[in-house]
Amino acid sequence: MLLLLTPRIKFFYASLNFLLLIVYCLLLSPAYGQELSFEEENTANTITAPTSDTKKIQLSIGILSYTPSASLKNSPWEETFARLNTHQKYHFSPIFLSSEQLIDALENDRLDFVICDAISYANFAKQHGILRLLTRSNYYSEQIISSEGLSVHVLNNNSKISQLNDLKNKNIGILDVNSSMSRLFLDYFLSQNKLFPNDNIFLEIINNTQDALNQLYTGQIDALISKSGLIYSFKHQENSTDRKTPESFSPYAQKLRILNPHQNWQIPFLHSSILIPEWPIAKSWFIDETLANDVITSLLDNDIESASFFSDQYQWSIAKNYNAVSKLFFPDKIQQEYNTESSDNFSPKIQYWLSFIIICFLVIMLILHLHSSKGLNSKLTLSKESLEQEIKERQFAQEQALNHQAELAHVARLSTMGEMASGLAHELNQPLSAINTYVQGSIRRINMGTDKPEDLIYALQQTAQQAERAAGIIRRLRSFVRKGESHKTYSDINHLVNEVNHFLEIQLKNKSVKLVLELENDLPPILADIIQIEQVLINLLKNAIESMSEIENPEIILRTKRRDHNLIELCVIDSGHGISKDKLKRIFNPFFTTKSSGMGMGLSISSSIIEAHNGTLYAKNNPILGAQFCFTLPTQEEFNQEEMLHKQST
Amino acid sequence: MSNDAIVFVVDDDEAVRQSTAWLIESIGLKVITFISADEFLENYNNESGCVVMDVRMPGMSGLEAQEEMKSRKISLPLIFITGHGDVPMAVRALKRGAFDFIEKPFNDQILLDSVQRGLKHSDEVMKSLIKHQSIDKRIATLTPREKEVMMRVTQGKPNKVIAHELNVSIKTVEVHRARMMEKMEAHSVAELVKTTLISGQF
Repeated sequence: MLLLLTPRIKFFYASLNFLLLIVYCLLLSPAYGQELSFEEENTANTITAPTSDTKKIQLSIGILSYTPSASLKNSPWEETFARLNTHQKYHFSPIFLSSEQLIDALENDRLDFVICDAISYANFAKQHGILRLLTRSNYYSEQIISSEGLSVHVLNNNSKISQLNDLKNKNIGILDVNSSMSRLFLDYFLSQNKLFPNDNIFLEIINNTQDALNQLYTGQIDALISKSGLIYSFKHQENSTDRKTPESFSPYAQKLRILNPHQNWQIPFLHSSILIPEWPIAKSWFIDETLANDVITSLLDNDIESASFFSDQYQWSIAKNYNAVSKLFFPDKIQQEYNTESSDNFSPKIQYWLSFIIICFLVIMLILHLHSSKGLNSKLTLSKESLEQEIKERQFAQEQALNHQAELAHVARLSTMGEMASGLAHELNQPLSAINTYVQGSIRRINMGTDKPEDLIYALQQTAQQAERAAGIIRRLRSFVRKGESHKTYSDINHLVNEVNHFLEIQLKNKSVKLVLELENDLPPILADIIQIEQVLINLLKNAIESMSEIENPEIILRTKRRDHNLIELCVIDSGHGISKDKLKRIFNPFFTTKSSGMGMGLSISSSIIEAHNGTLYAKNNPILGAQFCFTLPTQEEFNQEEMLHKQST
Repeated sequence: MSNDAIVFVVDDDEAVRQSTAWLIESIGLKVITFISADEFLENYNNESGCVVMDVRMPGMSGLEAQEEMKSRKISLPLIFITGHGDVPMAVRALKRGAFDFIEKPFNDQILLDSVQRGLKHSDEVMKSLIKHQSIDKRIATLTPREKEVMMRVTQGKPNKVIAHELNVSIKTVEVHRARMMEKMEAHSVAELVKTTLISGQF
């Protein structure tokens, strides 16, 4: 039925498909910047800031916290939210969540913005489509510090602990003030140094700096891990107007030593770990750019002059690049900044169903198309098969033709030679007979005693003459054989090999002979009668094939290569039985054959052809298996040399 | 063997011709060489002897020469020498009366033996021929009456019967008989019979 689809109908369907595809793409494009509003969910941790204007749109910001009872009041986030809530249209509310709660909320799109540590951000950035807008920063003497590290502090006079390794089996205090200690970072740092909590070290979280320091001095803990620089800011809180070097703020600084100390321009403190970017504030995927820009502008509105060193309120600066964090902590995830452009304007449900319908339709079209092309395919296969068949037949015919041609040439030469042979026999017989008669006659005369020296001399002279005559006949024969009729041109031996190979393809296949070609590249051309050389090659190949008629896995290697700088050698190597020594001597003789049917002229004719080209044809047994027949031909340069010499001599 | 026997050597190839001639001369025979069969036939004068001839020659071949010799009633023994010995040719030649067929190159003894046999044969043939001729001459001198008598005598008929058949007297028969016997040079009836047999006329 579908084969009756006329080209016109098919075109109609195709264009319909195309139109639908375009429509679908348009639906997905963010042509309109509509806003979305989400209801904020109140959790136990939420503090809804009192809104003076109830017409404002409520937005929620999830903040990672390690203490369940965190709240905005007296937290370092106060200033952030104060700035944010100067906005006229929106009201931002913080929601303090644990790591799991945060992930859950993001999965269910319950947060508009999120603030968490760099590693957590790198983890959920791609999955939940959140995009960092700004990075938390600290201001110190006009330097903006937006990286964080960990420092391991020990007492100066602690001689037992000098490097991180020495922390094994010790009591370690972890200073975490207002979630300053990023747990993921801590885990990473510890495991990098082969320290496993409850396995070879003992950790205790301390939320108060003074407490922590006391424990350290009293030896309750052997070391204290904190966010780099935090300890100095503690002291600074007591002396808020003093702005000196960090270390000078804290008398304890002199009493403390940092393990595995590193220095980096990004933070002015020594640190024991690597540095990672500070916490980002990120927007969810459904928050549009305008709102994001508003947030950024509010938060970047820092009064640098008044910003005190290590203010206890968090400040913000431009977003750092979190790719490095991704790469380091989550190397399996594909690093890509989330693309905000694929937000669309339709509700997911409608979008989903629409996509589904369109896809179904496309699939149906595809099936129809495939069905109709099946018919075409089978037609194509049929015609391909018939074409292949024709090609095979033609190849076969060509092979036959070449065979006949070769045989014809063969027979022609043979019959000429045959005629010559009988004429030759007669011609040679005469002088031979005369020689015989003279010599026998001489013997007779000597025996009978009737010999006269003149008689004998006469007889011997005649004998010599007749021998010379016979030699002349041989000479003539040789020159005839050599001359023949040859038409020489410049040709590439590899090309010739491929031609012959092509013709013998079918025969090789029939006898399941594997042919391996090892043709050296860039061989210089040879001056030769192509048909004659082809004859030789065909003869050699046919001999090889026939010699392996009873071999399993017969294989022929055809090799061409340069030899002795002005010769080209072609070898036909078979994997047959090889040739016995006594036969090897005689194979090139005419009328010598090991076949039940055959004239035995092939190799002798081949040999004479090669010799007419100033080359040599020889055979030998392979070291392991089979025999090889090789002939050499001089390259063009050699011919030129010869011609030059010839010209010089004439 | 008569001393004037000649061996004729016919071959288009000079070397073969000369060497063969030279060989035959070494046993003291007389040799005349010809370059072709034509030349030989032209110059042949009924000498006695034999012919040594090649088969394959330009112009008249050996076998053709054989035919020609037959038609000219030249009865010399013909010895063929050839470089192309094939059985059919040899059989044909021999059936047509060739004396021998030898392949080149040949063993000298074989050739010479054949030549000598040929000459002997020729000799005998010659002799027989001469005899034949003389007998014919004798018969020619007979009168018709004498011939009739001779015929009956050789048939074994007694005079009385002959007289009766010829219708003459016995005395006449006796006279004819005596004259006939004289002319025929026969001394007995047996001899007469032999002679007439040779002539083949009666």
